[in-house]
Amino acid sequence: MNKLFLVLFYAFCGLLLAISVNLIISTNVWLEMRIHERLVLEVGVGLGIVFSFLRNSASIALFFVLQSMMFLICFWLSKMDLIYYSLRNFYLDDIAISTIKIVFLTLLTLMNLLIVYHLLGKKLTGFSKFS
Amino acid sequence: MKKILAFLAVVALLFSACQKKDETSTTSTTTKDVSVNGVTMSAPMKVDKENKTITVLAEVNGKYLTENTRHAVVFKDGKFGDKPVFRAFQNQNDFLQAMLEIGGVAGNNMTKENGETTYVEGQKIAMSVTWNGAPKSYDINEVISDGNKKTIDLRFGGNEKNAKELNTGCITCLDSCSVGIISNHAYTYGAVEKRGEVIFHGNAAILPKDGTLVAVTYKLINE
Repeated sequence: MNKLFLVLFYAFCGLLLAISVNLIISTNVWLEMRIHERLVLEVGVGLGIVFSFLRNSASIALFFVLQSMMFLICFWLSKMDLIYYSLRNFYLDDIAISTIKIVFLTLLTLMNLLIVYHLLGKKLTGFSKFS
Repeated sequence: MKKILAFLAVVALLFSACQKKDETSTTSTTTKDVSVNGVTMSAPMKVDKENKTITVLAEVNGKYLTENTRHAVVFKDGKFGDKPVFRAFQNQNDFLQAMLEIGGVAGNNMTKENGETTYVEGQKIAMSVTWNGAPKSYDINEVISDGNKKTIDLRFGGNEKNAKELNTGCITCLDSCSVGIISNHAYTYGAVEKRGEVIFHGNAAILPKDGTLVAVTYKLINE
């Protein structure tokens, strides 16, 4: 059960990293026209899953770094909606952008709440210390 | 730990349950075959030999209402199906045959080698877009904006062999192209991607929201 949590956690971290890469790619139209967002997300999630097998706990610091990086790139480029279009191109073609937005932000918010809950002393198994 | 996983499962359920219910979106059209200007999911192309027009069903790709692209209309299952302003539900090969059936004269003057120095030739095409609830049928120059304010001048390039072999799905490109069936005579290949001469994107002030089904009509122009 703990391993399954780690796989999901690091896959999600990989997703955040891949979204950041897609946002950077979108600044160059030559690259943007040639690199498919789906491929970048597949590689990101795949790397996350592989990484999960090398770790014994979910790294809170890694999650915060990737999340902050994604939002910083978004704000710098003023391309917030591109996050959801990236996700839609990841095998979610038939799902409305508004739904993708709600679910993704809900997941992100709840992951943050879980971590805050963990850091405030209610230690959850699976998470690392803040490292 | 079980609680965390149960929670994640609930979120996944939420994801699948709260899909948009909108008559003009593709989500609902899989069960409800909405007709837009005579084209539907089950019959995504309408050929009118008498009026020399072809109408194709497509959907608006909201991403390119703000982002730069060189693709106007691409078959959704083609290699570049995620890159256009309008994702078509009709493949490029059948579309090309329909163009020939209505009497279109292809230029076939573009190659990979001459692309950057050659303007696409072929019969002139008028392209218009409409959707259910639209006040009128909009010309391509109204729904796709050219950063240089140049008029988009569409030509029937042809390119049958490349379209089949490369399977990019390209039906309409915004600069002269050796693969797309129809492309823009106003710019040579590379104007968008390599030389940055122009920026194209959908006109968000006119076009409906992402996922809305539209009918794209091509008409042969006799000069």
